Amino acid sequence: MTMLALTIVILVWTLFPVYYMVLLSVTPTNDLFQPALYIDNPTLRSYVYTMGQDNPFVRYFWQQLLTSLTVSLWTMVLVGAIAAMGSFAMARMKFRFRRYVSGLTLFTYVIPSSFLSIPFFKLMADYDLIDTKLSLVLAMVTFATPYALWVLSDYARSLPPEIEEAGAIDGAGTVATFFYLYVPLIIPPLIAIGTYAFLYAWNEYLYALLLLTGEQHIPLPVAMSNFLTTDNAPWNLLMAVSTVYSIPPVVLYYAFKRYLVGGLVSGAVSGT
Amino acid sequence: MRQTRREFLKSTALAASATSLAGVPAVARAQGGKLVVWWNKGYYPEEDIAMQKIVKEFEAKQKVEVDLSFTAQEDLLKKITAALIARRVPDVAFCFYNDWQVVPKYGWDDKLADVSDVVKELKSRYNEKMLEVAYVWNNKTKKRAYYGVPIEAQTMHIHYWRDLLREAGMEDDPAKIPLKWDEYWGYWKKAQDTLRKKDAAKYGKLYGIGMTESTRASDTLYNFEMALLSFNGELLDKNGKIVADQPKNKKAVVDTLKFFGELFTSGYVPPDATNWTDGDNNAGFHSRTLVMTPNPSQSIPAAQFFNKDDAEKKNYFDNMATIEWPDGPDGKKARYLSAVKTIIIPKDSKNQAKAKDFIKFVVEKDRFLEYIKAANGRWFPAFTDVAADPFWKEGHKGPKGQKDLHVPVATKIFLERDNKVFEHYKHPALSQVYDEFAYAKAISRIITDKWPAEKAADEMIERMKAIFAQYK
Amino acid sequence: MSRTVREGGLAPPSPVAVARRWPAVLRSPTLQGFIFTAPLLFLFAAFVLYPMLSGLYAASDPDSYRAIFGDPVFRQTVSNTLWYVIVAVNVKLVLALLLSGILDYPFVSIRVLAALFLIPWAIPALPGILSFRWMLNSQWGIFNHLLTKLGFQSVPWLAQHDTALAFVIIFHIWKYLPFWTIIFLAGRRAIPNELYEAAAIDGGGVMQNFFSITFPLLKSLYLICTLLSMVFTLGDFTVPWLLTGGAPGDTTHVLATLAYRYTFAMGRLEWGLSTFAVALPVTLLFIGMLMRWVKI
Repeated sequence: MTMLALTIVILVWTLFPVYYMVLLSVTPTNDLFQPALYIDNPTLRSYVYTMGQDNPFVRYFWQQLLTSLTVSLWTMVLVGAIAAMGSFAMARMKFRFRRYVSGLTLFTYVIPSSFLSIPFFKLMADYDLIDTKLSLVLAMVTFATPYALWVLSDYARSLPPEIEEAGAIDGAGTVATFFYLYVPLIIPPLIAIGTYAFLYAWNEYLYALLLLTGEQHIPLPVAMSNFLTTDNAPWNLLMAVSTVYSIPPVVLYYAFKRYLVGGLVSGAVSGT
Repeated sequence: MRQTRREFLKSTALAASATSLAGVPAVARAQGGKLVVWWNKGYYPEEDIAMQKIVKEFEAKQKVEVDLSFTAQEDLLKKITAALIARRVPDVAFCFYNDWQVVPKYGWDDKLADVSDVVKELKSRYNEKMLEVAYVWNNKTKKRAYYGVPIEAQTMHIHYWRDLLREAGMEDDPAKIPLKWDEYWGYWKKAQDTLRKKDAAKYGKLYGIGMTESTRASDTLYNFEMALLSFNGELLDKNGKIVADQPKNKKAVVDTLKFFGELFTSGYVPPDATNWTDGDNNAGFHSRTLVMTPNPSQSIPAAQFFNKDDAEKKNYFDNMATIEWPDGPDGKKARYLSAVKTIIIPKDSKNQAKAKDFIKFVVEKDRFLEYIKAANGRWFPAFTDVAADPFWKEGHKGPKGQKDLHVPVATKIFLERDNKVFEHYKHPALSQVYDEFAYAKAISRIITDKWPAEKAADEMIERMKAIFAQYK
Repeated sequence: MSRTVREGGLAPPSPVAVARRWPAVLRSPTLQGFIFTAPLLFLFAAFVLYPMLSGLYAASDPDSYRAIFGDPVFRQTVSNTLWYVIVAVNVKLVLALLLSGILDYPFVSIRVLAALFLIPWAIPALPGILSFRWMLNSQWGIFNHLLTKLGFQSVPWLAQHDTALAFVIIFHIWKYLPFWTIIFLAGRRAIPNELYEAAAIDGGGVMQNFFSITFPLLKSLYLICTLLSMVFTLGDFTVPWLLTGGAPGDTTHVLATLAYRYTFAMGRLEWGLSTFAVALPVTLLFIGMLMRWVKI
């Protein structure tokens, strides 16, 4: 009985804000200000406007969605690749200065990314990368990698020592060991941190705002904040965009759910 | 052997394609000579289209490539700030917040290009009252100059629902709303009381006065300074020195703070008003949970004009009206503040001459008229020849021949009433006082911390002095 | 070529070929280590070092500290930040630890619950905050609507300091609880079952199991998570900024939002960075502790 009550509490707590977002997105404009737990005459008009880009706020909706996707996917791939390589070195190799390398990566978090944004902007201008998606990808990779590295190294350390031994018996070099023996074994946490990196980039607002310019080039969160800064925000439309914007991460999450639990931490318990 | 190499290549593929991505923009940029224009995203698509058209014409005429992008004001301000600090700038920037958050501060810091020559050339066309907003002090050259080109302005309006007043059985004709200070505010309170009594279920959460008193809305600055003028208070003298602590002005500040404090605590202002953003009073008004709201632009009627659910535009023409700020407690006609929007050129721009040509091109009479008309009366032109267009006197025509009750009111305020620009041009510290929302904070001291108005006024003036002292 | 497939690994390439490709110098473990960490080091050198140094340089002007300490909002901001970081993180992690225990049960219903429970983490912060803001509106929000229906007074949730700050904390917990619950869930699953079986023989109850087996084993993970989450939360500007924006009366700022305002509204980069430099001793301490405990 307490279990049931607890379940209900957890469900309401978790889902109500999401439900409310969807509810607002199907509310006709005239009913927006009549609070209710459900509505009698839901309409998909906001979605039609969004999909058809039939409103000044969503004029570049698909393009913005595509930008978000491109940036997030690139971030995912790069974070995965860099962290996989790094974790291999950290967890499976013994080399001088290793401690310093690990220290440096965590050092990234000493100053939160939002405070580094202007120096970062300046830096990107020096590299002549402002207004390119690459600059945003690089920013996201920079800030998502340390955590990914931690998770992967942790997992890697829990793998049996036979990998290198097997490689050594076959006479395989380090590169071969990495690709053929190591990478296949870290697929689950790799997927998990890929998801993490994707979500990180998908959520990003500040760097996206500073580094990209123009309605055709900005990703969705920046476009959504454009809604809020006008003084007549069409809330149901905003919520419709919000809902669509929430779908890719949710899909990604359910697709890879089984890797997340196993992948995001692993050896952490035994590790330290 | 071959296979290994392929694998090896695969491993570097990511890095390689990343570099290729990096290469493209660098090459594109290397061509140079492009004029980079950051423009404030319009409220209506027509505005952006009008601007795009202007840019096309300019490109054709001047044989130059223009890189035009639109960004909403709050985000654009952040981009301009970052660009000026990092010295990676556009060539032309027009943001609705330039006038109070960019021009005074960065003019002082010598980060903007002197555009006095442009202003001088246009001088004969200008509504002189609006010009001084961009005439700011440069602390490096130690003199004043124009660091922005004013183009359009907004002022204070009060909107109310006529149909709500009718329902309360009160006079709804804008010409017959009492304009005496106490009667005026009392009128909306009475509307709230009557409506709530009439139908408690429907109007239980209706409020008479949608007065923004929040630290996150620029509307608050407008409301406060308007009321301060009504109480005959001044914060700065003509040289930009603080005079708020002189007895007459101090009293006005205290009275103003008291006015806002009492308005809020009396229960005629929504409790969320201390947390509103600039859009929240609009939303509240559209939702008909406010009888009236002061708003420093015509965004509310304009939104109703384009309301897709109201094809006959009944709301715009019949159900709501715009009126003036009330006469002061001493019976004097209201004096107005106008916020004049300006275009800037960063000093680090390498295309300043072309940028100036561009600005001059934009404000040419017919071209600018088309652009500003696309905003449906939200802005009033800074140029007298543009303002002479009949639209400003008459506004829109209703489908049944109704008269426009909104646009002409603004025109009257701009042309017939006593009005002046906001005073941040006198000293950049005032714009920091705005940034800190010092007024709203003082109001919040009264509302939330239950301070007496005198104490809140003291704290506010002290803070102002401290901010001014930072500018040496 | 396809000789032995070991430990889930794919067939390795011809070993001789690989061995021949790598001259002896490249076999040095230090060099190999650097080759594999090169992208990391490159990222750090190219994108972290410079912004950080130039940031610290900009924050080294004592005038900025005088200015921010002179700002009447500052003290309240520090206290808000402490509340936010300490309360939000700890409540969240305690809940996460407990919930991970519930979600660890192998029933179908629990697995469905677990799946739904993780949605807030997948939903981006912005839509979530928008939804909360609408629900909390004192005039047309659903919360007040329900309250008044039940005969209570309506509350201006976001217009008074205590409730506004409380909802910043609540939103943070709503959004990030799932993530940390997964982490603890994984931690629990890594505990060998034999330990519980042994305890069952000794007749240990749920509580006893928790205190004698689960918690001791999860302790270090818990601490690491606490430190990491605190560092992340200290820098969080999205939630407080979008939910309250510092209002009412600038009483709900946290260091991140205040610094953001200094930087972007006022154009005072050096103040913004100094604001954060104030928290630097704390983050340095946390990062230092993490470096000791976390093996990367």
